[in-house]
Amino acid sequence: MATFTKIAAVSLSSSAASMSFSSIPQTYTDLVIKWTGRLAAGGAVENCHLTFNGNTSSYSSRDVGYVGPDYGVRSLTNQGGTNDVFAGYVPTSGHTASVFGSTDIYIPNYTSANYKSLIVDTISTPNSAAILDFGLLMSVGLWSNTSAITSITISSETGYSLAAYSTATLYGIKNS
Amino acid sequence: MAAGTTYEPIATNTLSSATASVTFSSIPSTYTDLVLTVAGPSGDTGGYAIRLNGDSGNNYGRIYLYGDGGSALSNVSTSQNSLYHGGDTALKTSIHNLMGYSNTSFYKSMISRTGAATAYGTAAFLGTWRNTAAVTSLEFSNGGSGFSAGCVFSIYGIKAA
Repeated sequence: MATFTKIAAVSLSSSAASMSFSSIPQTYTDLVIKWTGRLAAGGAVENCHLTFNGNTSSYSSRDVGYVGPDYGVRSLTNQGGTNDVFAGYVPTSGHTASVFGSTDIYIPNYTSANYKSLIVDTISTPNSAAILDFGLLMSVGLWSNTSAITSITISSETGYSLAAYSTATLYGIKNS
Repeated sequence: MAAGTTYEPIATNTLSSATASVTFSSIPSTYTDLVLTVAGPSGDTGGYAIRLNGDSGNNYGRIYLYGDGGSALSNVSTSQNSLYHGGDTALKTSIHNLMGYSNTSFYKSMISRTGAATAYGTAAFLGTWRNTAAVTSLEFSNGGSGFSAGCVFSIYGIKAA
């Protein structure tokens, strides 16, 4: 039987502080989040982060990518701190209108009694030579917690609201 | 044309005890692409190799982009004895896309994403197996401390039509 089943989707009709998935069923093996977003305020490109189960501790991450043109190729540890984990780049209201960032997140074994890992691939593309920041990033994250994941919240690292038309879809993959 | 359902689980192996290698054989040729996932529990150490159809000769090439959280680097090699080899240290999470695995008209290529947040870092690999044979078996082998109990290996098939 085919898997990769849509569990839930969020689409903002107006700006909001976050996008969340709650009461995530525990019947799948892995989770996938595909989301696009933009912030309603801010500079050119900002980080977004996520938390599991409302927990704000025990996160870590390492990444590699291109953040241009100011930074070029670089690799960081725990970008954004350890109270949450990196979940994507998004353009802000300071960026060219209608430009949204795209992010793909894979979370294996989300119900297991092991620590939870995630792979994040994200891009926020340039659309104007006047814009200083754009980025392509690959990241791996870890939540050092043995609890099953029952909720996920995505929000801006800097506290800006997510803009209208930001969307996120949660999928479940079952390996048997 | 109505879309059919796809992304079907083919096989999975959740280790009840530590082992140095895991093999999936008799992989059906009825799909277009394969997706392989490996999720190691905390404490699982060591990189691992993927070999196709039991080929351990230097018939693989690879290129990767890697970051350890401080430095970024890239490397290319045309003579390797496996399609992919991760780094080392704990909690390896990996996704591998093997496109056209049953097509006998071209060499096989795999795109991989992997990482361990507490050490090692994250990487993307592109590998090529210089063989046009259809892939019928996959071997994951860890020459270090082996795969820990609790490590999960899964294979999914995607059908283009």
